[in-house]
Amino acid sequence: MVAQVLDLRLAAIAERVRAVVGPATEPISAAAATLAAAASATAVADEISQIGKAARLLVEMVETCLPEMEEDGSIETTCSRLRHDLRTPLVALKGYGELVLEIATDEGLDAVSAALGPLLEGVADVMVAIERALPAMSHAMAVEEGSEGDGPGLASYPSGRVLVADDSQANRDVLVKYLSREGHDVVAVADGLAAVEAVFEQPFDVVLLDMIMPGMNGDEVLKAIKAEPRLRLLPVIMISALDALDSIVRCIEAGAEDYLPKPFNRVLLRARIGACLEKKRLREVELSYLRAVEKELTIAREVQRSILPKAFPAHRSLAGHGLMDPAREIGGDFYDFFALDDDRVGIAVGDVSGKGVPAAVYMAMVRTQLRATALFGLSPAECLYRLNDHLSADNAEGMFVSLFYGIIDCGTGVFTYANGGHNWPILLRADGSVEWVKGTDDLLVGVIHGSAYHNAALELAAGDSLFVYTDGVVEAIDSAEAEFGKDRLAAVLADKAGLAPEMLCGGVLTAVRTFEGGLPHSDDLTCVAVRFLGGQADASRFEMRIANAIAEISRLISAVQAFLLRREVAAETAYPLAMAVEEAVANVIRHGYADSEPHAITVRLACDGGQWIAEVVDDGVSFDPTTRVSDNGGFHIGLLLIKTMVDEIEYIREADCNRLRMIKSSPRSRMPPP
Amino acid sequence: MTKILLVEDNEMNRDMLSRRLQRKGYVVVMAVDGGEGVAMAASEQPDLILMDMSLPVLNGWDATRQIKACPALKHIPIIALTAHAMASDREQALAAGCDGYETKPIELPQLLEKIESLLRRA
Repeated sequence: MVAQVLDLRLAAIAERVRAVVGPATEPISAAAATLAAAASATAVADEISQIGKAARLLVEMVETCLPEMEEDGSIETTCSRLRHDLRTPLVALKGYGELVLEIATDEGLDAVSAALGPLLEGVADVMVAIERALPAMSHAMAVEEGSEGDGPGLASYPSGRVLVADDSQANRDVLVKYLSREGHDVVAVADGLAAVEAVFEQPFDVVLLDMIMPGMNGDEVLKAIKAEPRLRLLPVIMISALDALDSIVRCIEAGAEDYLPKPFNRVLLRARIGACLEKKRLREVELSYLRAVEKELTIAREVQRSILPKAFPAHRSLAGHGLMDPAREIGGDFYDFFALDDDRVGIAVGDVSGKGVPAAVYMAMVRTQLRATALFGLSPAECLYRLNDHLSADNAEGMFVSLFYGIIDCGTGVFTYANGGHNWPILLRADGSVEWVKGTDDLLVGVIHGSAYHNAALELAAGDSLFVYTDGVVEAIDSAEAEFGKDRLAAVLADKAGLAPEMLCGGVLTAVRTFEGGLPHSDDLTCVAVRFLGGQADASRFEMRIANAIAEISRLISAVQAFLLRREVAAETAYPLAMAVEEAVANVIRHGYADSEPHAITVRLACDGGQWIAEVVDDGVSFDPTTRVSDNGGFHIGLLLIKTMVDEIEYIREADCNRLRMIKSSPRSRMPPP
Repeated sequence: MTKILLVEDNEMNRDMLSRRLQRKGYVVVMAVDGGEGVAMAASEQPDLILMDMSLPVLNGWDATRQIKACPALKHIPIIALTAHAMASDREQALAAGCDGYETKPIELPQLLEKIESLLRRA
């Protein structure tokens, strides 16, 4: 039973040899007949008769092909033997053919020479046919190859433009024939110099390069290709006899993609060319993906650049500057400054989570919403609270922003701020001392809906600067992965007290870059510096506008106290006056409005001779406290308190506004009680 | 005159290759199997041997080993000729003591180059 199956397999092999190799032998027989008929062939008669003999032997071997199982019982060994036997007449045909061609060329036997081209081509074709019928590589390939050459199950490869450089006409013809059949566009040249000319002048997807060629060898052509930046990625396959392994290794080290052993195996050739083209295609896909990413990055950079303010709002008592040095991939930093009114400037610095386009889009949204909220005149804490609610309400991507927002009152130098999870800014005093503008320990903005944010305030004296930055500054690393750090930042700034904001920002950037030693930032680097140049010309006056929100009161009172302190007003005057202002403003906010719209309340302080006058102006419903103080009920306890804190109150209703004046005499000038 | 010993069992290929080599100016002596090849190496003292590997009586590998084992002959360079283009054939040939290796069908210019370079070395 087993023997029978084996016999069937041997019969199948014989059938395959007849079907595949048989037709390929016909041109050889025809060429041999033409040669035999050439009348002038006496000089090569012997050789021509040998050619005829070899051709007949070949045809007979193919026709009567009956392989016998080798002793080891292996089909592979049997095929190997058969392949060897079939090649023997081909070796003779090629040898005699080349010999006759040499002689005929020397002797000028043109008719003979003409017949030898087809003969040698025929030999090459039959070699190929034998490889197809009895592939040497493995059984798997024997199955894959299929009797028609292109059976199903063969991997499909992209087609491309192939350059073949080989000095042997027969090799060129075989390669051109194979590769054209595979759908490639093939150009063939016969020497190294022509190969170099071709690759420099025309586009190719892959080059097949014979190792040994007249004039310029394959390895020299390879060197020329790899030395040209434009062609460096062009895959080159070396054609070589197997015994030249050393030079193959050298070529692969010099940049060759692969090698192809002679004699050619069609399956191997197809696979190697295909793999090269596939690799090249993948490289191109990768390249186009990279280009798309680059384009996205450009868009993100453009968004980021376009939302940064072009200039600091002009003000006689304030100078400011901001800069951002972006990382290669957008890190999501932004800064903003805008005038809220004639005397107040808002300053914001934020760092959005994530990178690239999503960070840039989120950043643009944060900036817009912050401005929209801030321009209502709300306090920093109120702005952060509202922004947090907006951002956290619909945040499927889980993005957030660390955000520092503060308002400078240019009249008083009071800086009110709120910090949503951002790095502590630095207050650089005119004398070079450095203070951290500590946060209020509030959460990052956009994370938890309903988070509370708190105001804090500090007062800037003439010559003091505020420096706000992102973690790109303090987390910059040097080549040893050490961080730039807060202490180093403080030290850099301490040296620059009293300098213009541009110098502070530039100085820090230079220090960070020097620290990084030429490495690119891994994150955006942002610095904003604001320098307070001094209060109003008339320092005896104070004016501040706040929104009608309870949260605004602390900011107002901080500023009032800071002003009175700076004016060296005695505590026994300053304290009751501030308390009276607080009560009056709280009253307006709680009871003064019939609607829920935002309103502004203006508070002024002025010293007039021996007395201080505090004035509160609001556009709420008409209300005269001077006539209501004596009414019963808790509603007016605040007014009662005011009455006890100050010496006198006056009320005017003008231009749809309530104007309440509270007058407090200085102790020195105060009249003794009657 | 350079004398080459060609050991090849196939009559047609022996005749073909000897003609081609004679045309290039070499003196060619021939043996038809491995045993005769070893004997002629000793009697003819050729400058170089071209040795087919699949030979009757004594195969090319064994013939090469015998020649290379003989102190009087081991200086003669031997180029292996084989119909197989397998890397293992090359290794086997080199292991047997061959100095070079060519696959059939022969590329004559390549073979001549190898012959000349081995003769220069010898």
